[in-house]
Amino acid sequence: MNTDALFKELEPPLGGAERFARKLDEVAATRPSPRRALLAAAAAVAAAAVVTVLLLRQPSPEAPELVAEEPPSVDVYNAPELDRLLGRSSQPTELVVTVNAETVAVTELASANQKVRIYQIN
Amino acid sequence: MTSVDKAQWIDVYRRLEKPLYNVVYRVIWDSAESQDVVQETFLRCWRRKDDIRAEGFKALLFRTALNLASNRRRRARLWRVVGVEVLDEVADESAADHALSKSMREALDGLPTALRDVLLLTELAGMTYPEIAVALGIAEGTVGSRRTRALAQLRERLDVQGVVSHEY
Repeated sequence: MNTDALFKELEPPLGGAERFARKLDEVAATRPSPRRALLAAAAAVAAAAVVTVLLLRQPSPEAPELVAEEPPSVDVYNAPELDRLLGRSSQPTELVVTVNAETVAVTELASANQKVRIYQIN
Repeated sequence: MTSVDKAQWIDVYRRLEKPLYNVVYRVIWDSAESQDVVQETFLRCWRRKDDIRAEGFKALLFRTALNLASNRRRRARLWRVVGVEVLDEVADESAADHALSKSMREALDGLPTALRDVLLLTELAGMTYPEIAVALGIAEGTVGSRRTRALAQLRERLDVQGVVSHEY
């Protein structure tokens, strides 16, 4: 008996390649193609995006309802108080002074500074 | 799968079936099972074909084949433990067909797996030491030292059994 036989090359059973080809066809038929897998992934992402958008668009019941406030009845933009802020030249206005909700008369006194006006309540 | 792709895989199968079969056969000692393992090896690699690099392909094939063969051998032993003879009956018959005696089979089976795998790949797979090192995940120098130890242990076992082993 010779130990060379232990590593002697043996012939595999015949028809192995043909059997392998058949198995390859079977496996390939059941395996999803990369293109199909890509399309499925894209569809899943699109569906998730749609669901997210729908959820975001629906107001939650706890959220306070936002209502635009009524615009102020006065013409704030043209108010003389904003002349300086908006770079407009001031227009002279009549001074009205109220004391205890009653209009009182005032007398303008002389002022050394042109930018300062002094009034005396009568 | 394109027809070119399929043809290439079948071509590679034809080229590597024999060395793979010879390696696997020395693990599970059954002709039909060995061919089945070789085919399963190729199918597994085909499923991972997009991740496989050409230079590591051969190593991957043999590593996969050895793993699958070892799994089948363990399963067969388990069945034997519970009283069902699976591979043993067939194995003896196949071994006789291939002129491999039971004592030779037992000597090889008795080797530690790490040594046996190196010996099978150096003697039957036609692989270089670097290729075997990659396949088994060991250092290149370890391949040589394991082969030497494997042959020494094999010689010892065969001498004990009265089988001439002076060829080594």
